[in-house]
Amino acid sequence: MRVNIDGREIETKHKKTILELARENDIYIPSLCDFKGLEPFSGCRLCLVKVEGMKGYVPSCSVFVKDGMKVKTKTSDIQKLRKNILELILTEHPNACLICEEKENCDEHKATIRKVDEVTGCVLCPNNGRCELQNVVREVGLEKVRFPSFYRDIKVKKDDPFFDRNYNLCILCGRCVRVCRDIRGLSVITFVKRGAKTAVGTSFGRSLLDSGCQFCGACVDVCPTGALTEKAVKYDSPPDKKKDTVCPLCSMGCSLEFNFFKDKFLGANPAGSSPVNSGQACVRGRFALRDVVRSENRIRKPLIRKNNQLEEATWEEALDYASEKIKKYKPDEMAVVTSPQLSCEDIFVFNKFAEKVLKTKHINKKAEGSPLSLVSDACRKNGISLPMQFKLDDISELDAVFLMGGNLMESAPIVWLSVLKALDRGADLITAGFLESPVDRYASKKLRVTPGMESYLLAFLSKCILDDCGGKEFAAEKGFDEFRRSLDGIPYKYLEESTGISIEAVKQTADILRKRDKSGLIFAPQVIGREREEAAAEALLNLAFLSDSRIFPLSVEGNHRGWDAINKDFSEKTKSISEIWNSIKKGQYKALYTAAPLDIPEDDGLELLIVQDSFTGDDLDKADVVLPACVLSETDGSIVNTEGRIQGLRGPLDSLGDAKPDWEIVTKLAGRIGSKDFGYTTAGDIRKEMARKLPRFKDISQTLPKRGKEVFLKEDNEYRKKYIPLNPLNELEKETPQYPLRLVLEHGFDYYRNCLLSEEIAEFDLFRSKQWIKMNKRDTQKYELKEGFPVTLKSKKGQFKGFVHISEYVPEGIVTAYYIPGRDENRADLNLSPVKITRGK
Amino acid sequence: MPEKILTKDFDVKHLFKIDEYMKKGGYKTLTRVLKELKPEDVMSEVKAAHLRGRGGAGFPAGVKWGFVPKDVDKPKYLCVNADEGEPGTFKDRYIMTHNPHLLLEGIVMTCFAVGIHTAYIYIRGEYENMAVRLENAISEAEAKGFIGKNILKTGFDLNVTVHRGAGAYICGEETALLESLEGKRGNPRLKPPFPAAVGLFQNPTVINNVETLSNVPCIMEKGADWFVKQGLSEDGGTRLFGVSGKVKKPGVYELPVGTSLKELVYTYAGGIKSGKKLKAVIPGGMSSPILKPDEIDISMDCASLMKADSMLGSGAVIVLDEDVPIIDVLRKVTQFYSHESCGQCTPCRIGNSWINKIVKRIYRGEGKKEDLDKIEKLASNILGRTLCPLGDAAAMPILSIVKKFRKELESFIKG
Ligand SMILES: Cc1cc2nc3c(=O)[nH]c(=O)nc-3n(C[C@H](O)[C@H](O)[C@H](O)COP(=O)(O)O)c2cc1C
Ligand code: SF4
Ligand code: SF4
Ligand code: SF4
Ligand code: SF4
Ligand code: FES
Repeated sequence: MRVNIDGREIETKHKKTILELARENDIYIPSLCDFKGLEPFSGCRLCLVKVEGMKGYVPSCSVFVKDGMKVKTKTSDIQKLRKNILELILTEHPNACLICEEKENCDEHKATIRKVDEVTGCVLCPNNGRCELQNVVREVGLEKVRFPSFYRDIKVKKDDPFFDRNYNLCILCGRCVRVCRDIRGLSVITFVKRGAKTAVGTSFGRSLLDSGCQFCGACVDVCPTGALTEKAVKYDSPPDKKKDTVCPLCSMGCSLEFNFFKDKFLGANPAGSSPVNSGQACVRGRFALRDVVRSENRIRKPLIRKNNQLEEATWEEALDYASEKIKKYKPDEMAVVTSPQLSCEDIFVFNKFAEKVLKTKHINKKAEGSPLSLVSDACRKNGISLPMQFKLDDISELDAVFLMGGNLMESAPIVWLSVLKALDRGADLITAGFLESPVDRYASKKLRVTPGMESYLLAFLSKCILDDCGGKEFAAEKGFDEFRRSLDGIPYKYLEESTGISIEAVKQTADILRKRDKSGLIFAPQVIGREREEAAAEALLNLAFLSDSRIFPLSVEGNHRGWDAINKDFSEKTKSISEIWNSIKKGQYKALYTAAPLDIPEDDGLELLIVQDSFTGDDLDKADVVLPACVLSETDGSIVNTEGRIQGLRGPLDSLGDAKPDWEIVTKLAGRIGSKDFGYTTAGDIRKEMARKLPRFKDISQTLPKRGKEVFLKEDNEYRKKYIPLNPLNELEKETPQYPLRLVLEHGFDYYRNCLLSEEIAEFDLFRSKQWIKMNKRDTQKYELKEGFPVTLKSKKGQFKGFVHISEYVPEGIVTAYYIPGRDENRADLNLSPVKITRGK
Repeated sequence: MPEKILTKDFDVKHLFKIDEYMKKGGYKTLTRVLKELKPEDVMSEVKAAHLRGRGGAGFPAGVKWGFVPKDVDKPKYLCVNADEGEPGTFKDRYIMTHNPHLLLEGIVMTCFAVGIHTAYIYIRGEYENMAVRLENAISEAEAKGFIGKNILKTGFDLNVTVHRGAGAYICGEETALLESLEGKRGNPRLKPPFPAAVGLFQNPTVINNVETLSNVPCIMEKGADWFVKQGLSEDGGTRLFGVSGKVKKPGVYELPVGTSLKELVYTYAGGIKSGKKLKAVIPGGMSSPILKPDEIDISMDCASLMKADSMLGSGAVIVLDEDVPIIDVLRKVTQFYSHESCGQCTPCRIGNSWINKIVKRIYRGEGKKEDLDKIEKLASNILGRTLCPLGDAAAMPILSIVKKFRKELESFIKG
């Protein structure tokens, strides 16, 4: 295509708007409502241009270029028109500074540099210096506003967490409305009222907290003015430096930009060009991460227990102490606990340490509650091989999505955005789980399964497919006969009763999955106990084979996939963190070296507890030595996201205090104990060794330092199917008048090592508290409870405490609480069992 | 009186009931159309009839239907615009009150022509009685097999649903109507794409006014040639002119397209009340530019009014006599548009609100000398620069009033 803009002939290939083409070619057209990645809105009308052959002026942000098009962007008419329109916008916006003759010299003259909430001019505005309106005024060259200004006088909304909303500064560009609706799928905020009273707001003017806001911050990031500003930095200067990194807080691995002013870390923004999150993030990466990495509770110095007191020590002392003690124990007396929140390099070195130095098999290699690990374990056990890595785009291209387990907005926010894209293109969404969730409103079918009976639901689907098609086409496949027999043994009626789902609903779902070209099964984290989770993973594999669906087993923690890939030599003998915890409880170990948050049981029989963490936690109470570890953002390690993408963290932050990267601590410890195999001086050394020794990590060295290169784990490309017969489940204990409710644990995601986001950040606690015991409103009435009441949940097996949170998503008769593997093992036993709830601590 | 087409039987008692309607020959043409004609036949007949849209823009209906892609594997929709929000307009309610079946018959024929199986009637919220009446009429027609599955055993299916609006003028604009019908805030959409290609729920959609569709049965009954002859200009048929204001006999008059405005005001509507002098006429709903007495010797058809820098719009004729202060008119107009702007685009939202503020100040006697110029500047800054036609609909009458009554307006400004 050839397009002529202002006399310049421009060649272009792809479909794009006039504005996009102009921008690419450095032709300035003022614009305020347009934003890359959002649907054109054409409301501000600043970008109007003249196109030969088209009537009047056309908005360049929504008119696409055509071959031979002739565009004029700078005629005197257009310049005048722009001034007129901008003038109108400024009548509704504090404008004194925008058109002040002295604005360029203001820094010298102004009386105050304080930013305030009642913003009457740019110098007082939190957005000063990073404001698009300022830029546009400068470019358009507006000097006068011929109307008195109209101050809306709307109270600044400050009661919600993380960001303030000052709609006196809003220019109604609608970017926030569009990003929330079109990209995040929420519509928390929208246009309200009409005419001059038009504004952006929530429905019925409720708080964001009460309107389903996920505090993803997307609206803040697109707002061109100071209307939406992040509380934590609104009074700071705009950043003078940015560094690229990856968010370590969940397995999405969002690309983030860390912002600095005079080396002060201001916070993180999602990076626009990332193939993973393209400009989006979630509350954890966008708002919580800053407070987490710079928490007051960071451990800055090594600590050694002396006279029953932890005292600061040097690294020399701490390492000497630890290594001397370690030498005393036999391999079977020692256990190591690693965490999927460590980098690949850390995990590799930890494993090597356990194997070569401690020579113990007691290191956790089985993941808890991670669908990815469950499915990959099931594959290894049964000799199955199928692609489990994917690109998020693969999800956007599905035409049917079966979502097993929970609320993706919380567990995998960026995967959810990809599902939304698929839905936008007409895909069907079927959700299956025991809770309602905000994603359900997009579902064409919701299968509310009885908690714990997930594998039966999946078997139910398989059975429907088989009975519908006769099953001949699968007859020759491995394990099919036995699998079929296991299904034949269960009558439909029993399946309906045990899962609580009607055969019609299951049949329709089976039909969709089987008949659509591109159906996908997304397996999201849910906590239903090891056995049931394993059964569900197996049943999911069967269903994937029968319906020819692709499976997307998600991982949970920042480096779950990397952790799983390094721990690939899974055998019956290796343990999960819960199993190790149970062994500790039984007094099986004398020494424990943990780099994961652990709730150390009473009467553990431990003689030596080495805690390696970045944050102080309850496990310090019993620790003999504490080794301060860097947070991932202080290291140049690598992590593997849920897709299988290996990404470098690139150490944007300096380490705090004496903290060191985990791999370095282990390396030093190994050296102290006398091993010669740990000659690493940089994370790069470890990567080299990994690339040599672990075929899946062949390309790991390429993740640094070049940015933008896509590197994935190497995957075994073989496709080996095998059907796995259905394992009968134990019946769940029934509710009784004494224990009338059923407890279902939900996976907690809001933590980083020993730091609980809701404890660290008061605002986070308002949004989502680890302490919540969620229940239906009717149940709270029945048990005479109110929001926020402290309560105790008791079952025959134990008890724990929390605070009531009323949730429309929890069905009657169920209560939920968060569970973090390792940390909340005392809750695990109670899962799925009948409980009673009592008021008070 | 010239021959009436749409309203000829409106004095029949209980015409809104299907039995009465059928006694008058209702649904006979539909039976013939469905059983004997092909969809293309209906489409070409309507095209030949030069049936222009009666909702405001006056676009030829047959041509609009022709834009709907034929062989698409998507549902198509008809949206009947019964929002009747244009100030001064009260003709659609006349049809829906007296003869809902005429509209329904037109709807079925239209859907047959375009290959549509789902129609929505978007009716303004205040028209509750008419909504009920339409719903009853639909039930009656369903019972008789004129609407529903396998209509008259011809295999043609059509489902018709009434949807009530919630009281915003902008929802009469066709794309805002679609948004509203989809359950969203009624904000106009960007065009292109046009609704014929991407309309309701992203599918091809025809949007027509109540009166437009009510003409289809007569066209199919008597033929395009006959229909064209009923008009006095190029366009076919009659129009329901709703005359209001200071005339002796306000009301709805069905007259040939091209009837003279003067005749309409003086002959049919009985002239100005209490022997007063005519001051001005708004010829096609509040959005149409005002005409002075010396301009009303004009044929009421789209082309002629366009030539006079006004428009036929919804055919709502508002008559003002010498006692009406022009500032009152201007204030009503500017208040209406500044209130009804959906707020999406800058010139319309802020421009209209400033115009309104300035007009109010003139009205209060606090006007300033430069105010009229300011109004003109602001209105010209709206004209042709907004996202949807509401901007123009506001700017045009305002500009015409200021231009034609500048002297009088100046007299309200003291200083
Ligand atoms: C602001 C605005 C309000 C409108 N209100 C109505 C209305 O109330 N009724 C109507 O039939 N058309 C209305 N229209 C015109 C419609 O957009 C559309 O052109 C019409 O429904 C098409 O039908 P027709 O071709 O049969 O006239 C309005 C247009 C605008 C710009
Ligand atoms: S923070 Fe996210 S969810 Fe909340 S209003 Fe903004 S875009 Fe919507
Ligand atoms: S709050 Fe910001 S992004 Fe939203 S409409 Fe106002 S100016 Fe635009
Ligand atoms: S926590 Fe996950 S989704 Fe949120 S910003 Fe970090 S990587 Fe992205
Ligand atoms: S012209 Fe007015 S009504 Fe139309 S989109 Fe713009 S603001 Fe809304
Ligand atoms: S950028 Fe095009 S209208 Fe706002």
